[in-house]
Amino acid sequence: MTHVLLETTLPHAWQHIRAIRKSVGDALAEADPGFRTAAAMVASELVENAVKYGEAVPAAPGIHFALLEAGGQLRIEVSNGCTDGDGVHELQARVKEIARAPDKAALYMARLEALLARPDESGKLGLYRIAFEGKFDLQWSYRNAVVTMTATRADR
Amino acid sequence: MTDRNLNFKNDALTIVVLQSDDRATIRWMGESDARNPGEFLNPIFSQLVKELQGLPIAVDFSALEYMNSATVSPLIKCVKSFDGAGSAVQVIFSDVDWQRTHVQCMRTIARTLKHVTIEVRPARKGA
Repeated sequence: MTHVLLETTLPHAWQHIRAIRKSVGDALAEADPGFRTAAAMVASELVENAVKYGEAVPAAPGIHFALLEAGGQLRIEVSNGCTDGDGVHELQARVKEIARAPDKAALYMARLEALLARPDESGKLGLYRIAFEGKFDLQWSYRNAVVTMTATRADR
Repeated sequence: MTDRNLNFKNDALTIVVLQSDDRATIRWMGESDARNPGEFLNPIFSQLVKELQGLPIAVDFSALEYMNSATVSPLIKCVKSFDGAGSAVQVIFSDVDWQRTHVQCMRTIARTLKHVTIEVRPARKGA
């Protein structure tokens, strides 16, 4: 059985991200503080990406956010429209890279070092942070020009 | 003793610089969640690297409540810049869960730097 702890649709606007982080913290008020903070960070990073790289499409005019509990796992789902084929392929490649990596800390550090070596390149550190700091698993799907990112972690 | 306090504020993030004749502390407070944190942070650090050259510097993140991943890169560039300018840099974190990741990263990076040490302080109650 799936429990919906929080579900909302947001516009593609940066100012809503902090509110999502706070709402996730409130929804998990009874959870272990470290788990709660990790979930709020994961939600925030995923919605940041949706705002940065997403766009309105007929199947997803806004960003859909859901915080769910099912089968002893916490699940965070963020969906957004995207018609940038290169961006979608890059996202797919990153999610696969993270899923396959046995050492998430090493992967995060490698990404960080790459960023520091190329100061003009922007972030794209968030997904690696979700896996390393947040200890969430990431999954990805793409359908009808809508990207859905799903982050899961064993409950509490 | 000459004391100087500077305050830099951007939305929910405040950076306070406390400077005396023999040391400086750069204290981060609040939340760093801007879309492009470097736009705010990089000019501040460029200024501080020049003004604080030669002074021992404590960069204190222990009162920081949140930072997004976009903040990580300018933050590390800041520490590297102070190190490159010859300042002894003490980087201070809190032992709250989310900051431990950054402690681990900073310790790894500090191995490649000459003047950087890392300190982890117990979290304040309620943090």
